[in-house]
This record gives sequence, structure tokens and C-alpha cells, in this order.
Amino acid sequence: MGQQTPDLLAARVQSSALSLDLLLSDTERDDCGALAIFSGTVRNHHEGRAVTGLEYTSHVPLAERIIEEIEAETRERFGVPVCRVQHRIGRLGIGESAIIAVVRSAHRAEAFAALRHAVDATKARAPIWKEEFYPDGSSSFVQGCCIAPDQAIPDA
Amino acid sequence: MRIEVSFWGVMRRHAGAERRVLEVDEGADVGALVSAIDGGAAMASELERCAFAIGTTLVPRSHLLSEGDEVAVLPPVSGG
Repeated sequence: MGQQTPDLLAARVQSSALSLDLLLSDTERDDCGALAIFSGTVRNHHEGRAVTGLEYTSHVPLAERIIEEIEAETRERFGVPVCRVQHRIGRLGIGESAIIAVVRSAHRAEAFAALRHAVDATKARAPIWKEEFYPDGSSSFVQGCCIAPDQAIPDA
Repeated sequence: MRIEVSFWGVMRRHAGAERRVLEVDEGADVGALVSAIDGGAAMASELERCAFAIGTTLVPRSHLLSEGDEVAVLPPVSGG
């Protein structure tokens, strides 16, 4: 992967496989005793229905900006020096990683809290859409969260 | 004036296209543009829950449009 490494690390949204190893090596810090990691993988069911795979699509330029904003807001709000989130797009099979998030901080309490915020905010605010595929070949888009600034409608 | 509209997520399915070019009056806002988007009942219902962006900025329905704007129609998000 050699020369692709810088691009993969810079991207918040990418079509190639996510690499937790790359993200960890890129964020190493001697002043952080806590490392919190979340990886969201594609599971084989949703709301009682078998799922064979997912396809994620995204408005990439806007998603990149919003995820960078979430990272910065997380670092500031929780006082953690490192927060990075990467989301995969395209067709994913069961077990593949769709999102990875890394927080590093001096101590564990703020690392756990910051990680949860970063992942929850990315799911609720980044313009990314999930289409589920079922064993009979049909598919449907998953109901999501409204992101209109002037129309905050609570969603599941 | 001509405004290019791009559809994302399920809205692309409802619209049957990635993009449309719509004609709206001078001084129209995003809300007026939304009213000019033709589609079925499912599209109309989903439009109520959509956000809108010009470039990489989310804009409210009261945002005034300019000739040549490209407006992205963004349904509720479901990443992660």
C-alpha cells in the first residue's frame, strides 16, 4: 500500500478497507496512557431480519468536513489530544469494518466518554446513508437521523 | 434562474436521477426550490425530513439562492 498511506490516513471517508493498524501508528503519543478504540462491523441481521450486506453512500466533501468538525469538537469538549474517525463507503460484506474511531488521552475516563461522543455524533450528523440487502435480493435504505439545521426532528 | 439539484441516499431512488436542473424565480429561497421538486408521495414525505447543502455548507430553507447554485438534497443520515 506504500504511497497510498498518506491519503488513507488523511481521509475520513474512503472506499478502500479501513486500517486500524495505520490509524494507531499514525496517532501514537508518549503523553497518552489511554487508547480507546471503536470498530463498527457489518452484522447479519437488523430488526429481526437477515441481512446479507450493506452499501454505504456519502456526500463525501460534506462528510469529510463534518467528521473533521466532530473530531475537533470532541478533542475540545473532552480535553483529549487525539480523536480520529474513519468511515467506509461502498458495498460491504458481513463482518467488514464500516467505521473505526480512535481516541488517545492521558487517562481512561475522558477517553471512553470522548470515543462515545465521536461515534454517536458521526452516526447522527455525517451525510452517509446505509442500504441493507436481504437474502431474497431486495434492499432498503435504513431510517436515519434528520440533519437539517432548521428542523431538528428526533429520530430513532 | 437555473439551480442544479443533486439527490442523495434514498432521494436518488425517489427522484430516479442523480441530478435535475430546476428553474426558480429570482430571489427564491431553498424552500421555494423544494416546492418545485416534482415527485411522488414518498418523495414529498421524505423531503420534509431532508437537509440541504450548497458546497460543504448546510443551509436552512430560508437561505436565498443565487444563479448557478448547486443544492444537495440530503435525507436523514444512517452511517455507522
